[in-house]
Amino acid sequence: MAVLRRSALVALATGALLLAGGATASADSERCTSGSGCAGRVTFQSYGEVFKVYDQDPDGHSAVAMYWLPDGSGPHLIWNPNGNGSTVTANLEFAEGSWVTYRACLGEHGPKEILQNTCGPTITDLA
Amino acid sequence: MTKLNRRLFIVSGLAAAGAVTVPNLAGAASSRPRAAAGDPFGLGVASGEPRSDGMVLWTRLAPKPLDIGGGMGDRTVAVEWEVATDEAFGNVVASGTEQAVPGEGHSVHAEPKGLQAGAEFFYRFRADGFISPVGRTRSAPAAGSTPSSVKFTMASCQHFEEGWYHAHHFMAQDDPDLVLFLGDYMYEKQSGRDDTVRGYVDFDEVDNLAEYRLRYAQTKLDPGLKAAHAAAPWLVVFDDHELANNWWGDGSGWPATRKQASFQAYWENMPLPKAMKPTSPAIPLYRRFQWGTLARFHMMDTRQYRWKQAPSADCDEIRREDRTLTGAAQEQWLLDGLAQGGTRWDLLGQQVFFASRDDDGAESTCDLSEDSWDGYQASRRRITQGWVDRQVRNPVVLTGDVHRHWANSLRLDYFDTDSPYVGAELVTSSVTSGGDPGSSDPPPDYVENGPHLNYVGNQRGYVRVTANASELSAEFMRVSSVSAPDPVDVTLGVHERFTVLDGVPGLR
Repeated sequence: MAVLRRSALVALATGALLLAGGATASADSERCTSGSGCAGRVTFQSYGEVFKVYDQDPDGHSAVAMYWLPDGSGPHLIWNPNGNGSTVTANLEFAEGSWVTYRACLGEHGPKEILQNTCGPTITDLA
Repeated sequence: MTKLNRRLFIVSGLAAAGAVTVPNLAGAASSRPRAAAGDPFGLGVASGEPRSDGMVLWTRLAPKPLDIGGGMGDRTVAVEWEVATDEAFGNVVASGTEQAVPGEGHSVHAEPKGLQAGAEFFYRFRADGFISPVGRTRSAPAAGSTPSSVKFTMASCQHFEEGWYHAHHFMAQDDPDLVLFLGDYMYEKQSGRDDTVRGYVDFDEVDNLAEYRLRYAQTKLDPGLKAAHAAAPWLVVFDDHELANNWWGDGSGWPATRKQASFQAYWENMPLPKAMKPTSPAIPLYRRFQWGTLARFHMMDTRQYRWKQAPSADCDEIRREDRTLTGAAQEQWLLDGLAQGGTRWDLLGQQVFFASRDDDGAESTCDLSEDSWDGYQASRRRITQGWVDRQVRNPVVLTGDVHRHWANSLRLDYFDTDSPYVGAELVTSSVTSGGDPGSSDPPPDYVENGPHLNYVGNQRGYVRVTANASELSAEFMRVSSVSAPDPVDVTLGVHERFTVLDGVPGLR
């Protein structure tokens, strides 16, 4: 299994990380992890640059969002280590008119290992 | 050729020149199609291939650079360009329109002609209501003229994941006449190191056109790289990683479809002329540039025509007389070019280590790198003997590939340490590949066995060269870090200096 170590890249740009109970806000785009079950889901809302990371499977893995920015940085990581049914919200600040490319993955939160073969397809949205 | 609306172009362009790319008129912005909702110039601008009457101006439209297709879809987009003698574009001397098409990755290769020789110019593009950043370029000196000097930088090997391109940031500040990039601009695979500073969006080894395009797009997001491309015209050649590790051209080592995809993506992403666009699994990469009577750049291709690397330590194969790194046609092309004379410095821009680096210094063991010229000794000897026979005044080989700075004096027979020097080689270390070096810098053992190997430095950086009528000086530049993201936290220093005197082979 391919493993990506990105412990030095748990950068969240500028913003707040919130825990939410599971209410699904409207999103401009979303991506699932690979496979048919959508064990992890990431949504992005352009207004306010809000990521939500959903863990939707009791598989023992954490859901995680990986995202890349126009300055050549990334992947930045947003972890949801809170288990099945939980959501982590990251309210970020990107430059207006900018873009963000992201994908949903599973990983091991302790060693900050991304399980690359669980990553779903990427998508780019505008900030 | 379509003339731009000068006034509107300038109004929008001044904002762009202030490093903020803004939409053009409100009307144009509001009528933009949805697919072009973002700035399409995020990959920057570039120029290259300077001739005495023009050069190539490059950009590639990609409002969503990390999406397959760059966010452009299947549209064909008209891209206007203009060239001026001033940064405010008050004196526009050339302009035109190119069509950016999906089949070329929405790249633009504009080729203004009729420009004044030996002059500085500024250029920019407009598409989808956006104005590009402004680039600076220059034309080559007029044929037969004698410029007082030429300043160029040389760089290679920039694995995106292994560091930030601060070397390019500093090269842009050097204000060189030219930038030579000597291969491994892009890497087809993930680093595999555990100290990377960023990561590819596509985890897999790239092997088709869409993936190669995406990998180039991500590479080109680096701010330092964009600055260096916008600062001066580039002369580029590829090495292996633009296609696959240690590939060779002769035979059927790699599928033709992959080779053509790699070459197509390389052409799309470099400031290369339309005439070099691949139409088969081949690209016409070797070519020559004249810098008045002062310098001639022979840009070589040491991948497409080489024989497969010899088995390790196989002296019989390594020393075959018909073995070639360049192919017969390129070898003859090079020797013919070297015979032209009339130029002070003949500079051979190429990829792999030219001088001998024999690990144990024993001629009988062939303990060497089979991928370098050491693995193609007859080929090296024919070229070296060729410039000796043609009485080339000052041959200097310019090299990348090995992630170390090297300065070498060249011989015909490296195992005869009494034989005279017949040229010099400058090897630039990597921009990032290998990451930050450790605190120690032990030279390899074979330096002691090769008195022609004047210097090795385990640095990340580039080489800065200035040549005039009497000497060529090379400064081996070191950046203090490739892991610090912000260049304000990084310093640049000269790690070593060497000089080649006119008419005196070897380094001082």
